[in-house]
Amino acid sequence: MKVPKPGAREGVAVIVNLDNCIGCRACQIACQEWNGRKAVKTQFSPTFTNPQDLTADSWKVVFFKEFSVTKLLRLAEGDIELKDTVEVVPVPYNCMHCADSPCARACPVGAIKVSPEGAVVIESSECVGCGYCLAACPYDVPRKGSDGKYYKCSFCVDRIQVGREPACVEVCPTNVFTFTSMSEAEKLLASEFKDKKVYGLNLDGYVGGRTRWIFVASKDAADKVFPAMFPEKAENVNEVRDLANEFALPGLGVLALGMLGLLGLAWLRYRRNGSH
Amino acid sequence: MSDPISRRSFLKLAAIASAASIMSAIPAQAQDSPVPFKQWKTKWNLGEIGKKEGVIRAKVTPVICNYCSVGCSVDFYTVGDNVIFASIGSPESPINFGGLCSKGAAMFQQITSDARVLYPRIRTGPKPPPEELLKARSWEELEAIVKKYPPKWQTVTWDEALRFVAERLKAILSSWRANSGAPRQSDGFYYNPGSANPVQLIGSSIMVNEASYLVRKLAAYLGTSNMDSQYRKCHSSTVTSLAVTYGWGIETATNEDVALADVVLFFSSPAEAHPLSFWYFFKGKRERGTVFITFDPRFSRTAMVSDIWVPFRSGTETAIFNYILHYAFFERKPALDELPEFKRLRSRWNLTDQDLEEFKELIKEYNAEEVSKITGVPVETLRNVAKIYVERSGVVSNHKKHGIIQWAMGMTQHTNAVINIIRSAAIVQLLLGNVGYPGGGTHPFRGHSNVQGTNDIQGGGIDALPGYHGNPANAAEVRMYQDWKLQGMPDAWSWEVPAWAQEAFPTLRAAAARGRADLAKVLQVYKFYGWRRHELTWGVFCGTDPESDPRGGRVICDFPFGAGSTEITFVRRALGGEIRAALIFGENPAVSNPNAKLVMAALSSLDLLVVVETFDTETAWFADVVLPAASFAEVEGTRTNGNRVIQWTHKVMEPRGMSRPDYWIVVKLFEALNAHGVIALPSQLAGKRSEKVMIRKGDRLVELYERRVDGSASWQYSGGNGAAIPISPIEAEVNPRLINKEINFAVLIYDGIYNPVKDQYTTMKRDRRLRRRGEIDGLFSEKFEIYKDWGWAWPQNVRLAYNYDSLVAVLGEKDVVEAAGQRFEVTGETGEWIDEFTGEYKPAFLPGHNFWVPRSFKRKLSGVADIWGGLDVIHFIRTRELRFPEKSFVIEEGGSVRTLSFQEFIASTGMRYLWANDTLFWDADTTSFRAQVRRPFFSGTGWREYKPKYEEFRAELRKLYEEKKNMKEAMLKLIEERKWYAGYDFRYPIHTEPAESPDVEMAIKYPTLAWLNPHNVRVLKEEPNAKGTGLALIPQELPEEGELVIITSNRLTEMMHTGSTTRNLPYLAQLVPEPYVSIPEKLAQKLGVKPGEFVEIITARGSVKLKAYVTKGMGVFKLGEKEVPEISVVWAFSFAGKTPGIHANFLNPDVGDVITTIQESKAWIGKVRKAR
Repeated sequence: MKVPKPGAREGVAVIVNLDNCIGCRACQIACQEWNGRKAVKTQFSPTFTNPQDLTADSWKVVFFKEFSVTKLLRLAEGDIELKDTVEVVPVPYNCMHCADSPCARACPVGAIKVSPEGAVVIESSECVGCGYCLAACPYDVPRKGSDGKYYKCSFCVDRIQVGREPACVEVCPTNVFTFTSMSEAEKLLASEFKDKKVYGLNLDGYVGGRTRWIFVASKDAADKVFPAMFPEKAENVNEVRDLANEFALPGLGVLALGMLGLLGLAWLRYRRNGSH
Repeated sequence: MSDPISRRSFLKLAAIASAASIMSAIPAQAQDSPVPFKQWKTKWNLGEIGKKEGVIRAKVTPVICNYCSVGCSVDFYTVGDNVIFASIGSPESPINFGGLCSKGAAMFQQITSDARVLYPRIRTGPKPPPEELLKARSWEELEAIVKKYPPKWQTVTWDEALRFVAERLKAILSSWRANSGAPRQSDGFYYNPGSANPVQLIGSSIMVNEASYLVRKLAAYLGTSNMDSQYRKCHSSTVTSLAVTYGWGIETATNEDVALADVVLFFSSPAEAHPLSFWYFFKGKRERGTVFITFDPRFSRTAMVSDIWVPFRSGTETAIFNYILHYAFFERKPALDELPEFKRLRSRWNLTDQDLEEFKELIKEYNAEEVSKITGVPVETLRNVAKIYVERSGVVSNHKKHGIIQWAMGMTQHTNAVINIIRSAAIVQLLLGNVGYPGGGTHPFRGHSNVQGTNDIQGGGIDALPGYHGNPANAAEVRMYQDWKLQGMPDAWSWEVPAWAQEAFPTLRAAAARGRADLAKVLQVYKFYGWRRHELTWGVFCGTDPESDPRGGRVICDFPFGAGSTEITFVRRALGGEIRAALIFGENPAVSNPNAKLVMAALSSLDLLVVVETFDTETAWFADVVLPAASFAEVEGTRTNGNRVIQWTHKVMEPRGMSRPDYWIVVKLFEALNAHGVIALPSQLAGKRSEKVMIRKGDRLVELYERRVDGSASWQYSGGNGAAIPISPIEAEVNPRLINKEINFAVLIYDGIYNPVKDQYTTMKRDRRLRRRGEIDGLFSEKFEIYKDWGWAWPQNVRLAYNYDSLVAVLGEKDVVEAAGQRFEVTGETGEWIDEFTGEYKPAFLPGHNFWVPRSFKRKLSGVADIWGGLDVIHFIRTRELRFPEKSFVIEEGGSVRTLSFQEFIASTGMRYLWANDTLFWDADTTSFRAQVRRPFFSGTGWREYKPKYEEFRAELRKLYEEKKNMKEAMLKLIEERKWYAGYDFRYPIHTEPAESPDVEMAIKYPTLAWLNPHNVRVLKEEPNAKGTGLALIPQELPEEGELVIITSNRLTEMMHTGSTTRNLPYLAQLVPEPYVSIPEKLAQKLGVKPGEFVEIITARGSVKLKAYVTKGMGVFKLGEKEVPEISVVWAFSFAGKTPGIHANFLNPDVGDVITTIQESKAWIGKVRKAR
């Protein structure tokens, strides 16, 4: 399906600076609360991450990644090598809001909208619960709720449209998130964040080349965290996704075709009722 | 004053300006829908997704968070009593800038939690028998016993509940009074000792100041010194240790100041427990490249964002600090003491040349190799850290750079916290020139939202009145006080210590004469001055009858004497039958105290336990009466954050059910107790209905006025006018705004929270502006970016304590301030103080804030008038009407003595506003007192003379241990022979082991000093009759099976303290649904334990099974030839509430700091094995 959307260099973006994250998980709670989601029933987590994955009620989850690392500290007092020390990096994770979102392309009923700002939103009143969005998602994001519909981060589209930052951005105590325009984000990545490694800008065409949530981290952290969190290339990994991808290109996927068929039936019914 | 509430709305508060520019980047999109016949949605209404459309018309109320001590403002968006949205901080707050942590974001769920107590109730069924509880050998056993006796409750009305409490307390107190004769004494009426009273009060560091203050007041009225609060278990050691060294037990600087540090040594995990503090820590990192170094056996959230993580063996901090100084004195070239700034700063310390040499001799022993053996930190790491820290200090960089030492429970909860650990940190900061300069200082981060405030406002509870004015020690002190009153309530310089009193108080001899003052005299006057303020604001009496005869008259004093039991010592005292009733406000000692079975048995053993609570806690399980307290959102008043910034928290809604604000509850309790004759003030029993206020002039006593003595009048807090108009019917009954004013007048350090001239609550100020050069503290505020118009800080709005000369030292300039029609030259932060001539503010401490002020002050009305010139302050607080006695001033003029009225006095002096500041002032004399690097705690000698005795002591301990093959017996023998550290006065800190040491060699080489406090000996002997509640002093005393571990405990961002305010909230419980123990990967492999499997932890108190969180981030330490792993338990869980869990505080011992008795819950030992 051809989804109306802003250009990849237009619209909004969030830079997620992992080096500033203290893992307090306020973002996780503020997200749940603003979006009216209930707490998730959980149990002990061996990684501390909880819930241990995204759910229909937790659209944002902070994942804790522990690893060993050898660091070199360059100080005025001299270089200090820290051998085999521990590092834990909290990664606040949610829908990446691809510049050209495969989920929206894959949605057979057009329930996934892309707002003029670039927010990718599942309109739950329209969702039929088919799960094609999840299948198409290279980041494994949408989750099925108890009502059978799929849910995920909406970029707080209802806030950003009135000029207020997303709830998670606003609540963050340490400025992990920078909510800005995509063009400004590019400037920041080339200036303020120029020493950091970036994930989200040079991706496969499948996601439109970039995501609107862009992660940055120092090299030590990024080398360990990015491969653990993100697919090597943001692209489709199974058949259904291939299909979606393929048919998305001409603008009308098979699923959309199927949908057209359904609409045709509805039209016929309408005509029948109308003829009474 | 309601400004912060009314002017704002959800949209106005957004960062609209920046957002608008972002939105301009949005392309106009008017495309056709890609789905036929269906509109393509491109516009969402605000709140549409989460059904929060109501947010747009919601009222906004800023509330001060009731979790940690950072003092964040949380914006509550409400419609009626419904919270629409509250997961957002107030964007205008310079403390949290709109940010929150997970707790703050979820706190609104406290209000609606169905674990809340909403109606008063009385127990009908039996309590778990103490003997049975004490038999439990594991948490499972204890929990089973507890649950065998579930409380049965009868819901009652407030009247019924209060009557029940009053009748029970009456029975307990009447029989005690009848048996002991208290408060009747051979020479008068007073409760001595106040600790003999069978009633204990506890709480609370989570209530607003206005409520905590009343709890302390109630304790005094009940005649008990057994009054304590959570501060005991958090930072009592910090408060005491810093107070004796610097003058005040406080975080020396403010939130925003940490951004000016160049290096921070974290000894706790503020990223975990005080997340919002990282706003400023990161600001420093961004702007100055601050180096973060985390000392923690556990890889904490702070370690995650630190440059260096240094795991070290818990309880060995003193060795680390002493090594830092060792590096500075002996490894660094040139040595620290050769630097000019070190030499200059010595005028602010009490170190003579000889002292310094002795101190260096001690420090010399703490070389890197030895400290590495003690701490388990590699020599190279120690050296790197010391180098970074010392090079970035004030002395070495000549104040271009400064370093911070930050800590919390990791340092405070030790048997040697006051004398060794915190003292050593305080000394490092002094000697490196880091105290009182921006970006430096000691930063103890306090745990609870109002633990600093409650600590201040209860004076530490056990032995002092609000504001740390010590309780009377004995009748002789009251006689001396009466004489001080006759001298006209003078400052230390104007006071002459009478010869007859010098015998009883030899420390006052040195500067006894009028015109002289030393620290001992200043501290004595501070005590007296506080008593007087409390006499006047409470309407009570302390002195002699007749007033004119301090030596021969009857002593009548309404303030109980001496120190009472602490939260820690109260437990064994209750089991021993000494304490029969407890009133516990907003605290959950069943979980927060160490040695759970002991504390639960103690709570069960009481004849009356009254619990005032918002949640159904574990402590409430053992209660006879539970009184429902309103939640944080249903009260108003002030909270003092960890760095003394006092902020007003606004009321969001009316209390749910029949719950009521704590201030309302304490007043109603008082009324019921008073009506039932439970309150028996000594003045009442002595028939002392008025005080003749007189001042001695030459040989003559001039009677000025007669003051009504009626202790109950000051409990009338209804009504209020002006800024104190009650905000709702409940507040009209008990108005916290009146209580706030009373605090302003009773508590010297809090003087300023209310401006009586302008009728303004200064704590309500929410102005985020930086003052400008020329204003009071203008240059200071401007250059160091300190927000002085956000709330109010004590003392006198000082934000950076001891900031005596930092304008000159750092900026190289003085500031000239024009205020109250005068010109002041200042070199540091002065704070502000009302001028007695103009009623305007003027700089308080000149030329800057220094050690011991405002304890040391001068008073223009010394010898002239009573405090506030005799103003009827009880009446003024309630009506704002100035009512003075006919004549209340006495002056000498040309050899004759004249009495004057207030009007006559101001006509001749112009001090129109003397009632607002009591004419106190601070000049060069008062700001000249030195920090105490040398500070003895016991009788004995210094280090040089003690050193050979130390060797003998160690040798004797070794010999006894080898003879007896039993450490407990060896130690007990030395204790009985009074040889335990006999001879060392502990003027300088040394490393001593925790009571439970993981290594026998360490236990002998650095013996614990625990046994210098009798409570700890009681624990060692498992008294009274409490087998299985004691200690394993060395690993050999633990069961054979399992791996030896050092055990500590930690807090988590998501779980506050005992968990009642977090485990009961679904949002937080999902993040940490159950407790666990962090164990090092190495140990897990050895035990064959996988993540999430249970391990059994066995200690001298019994065993607990916890799930294992397996991590690389736990220390394993080399101790002698062996490697000992450390593990850390999460202790925020127990059996009650919505998310119960295993109770880890079952494991830790109740030995405490030798000075304050804070429990040693951060370093103990046990064995670990895979659970069967």
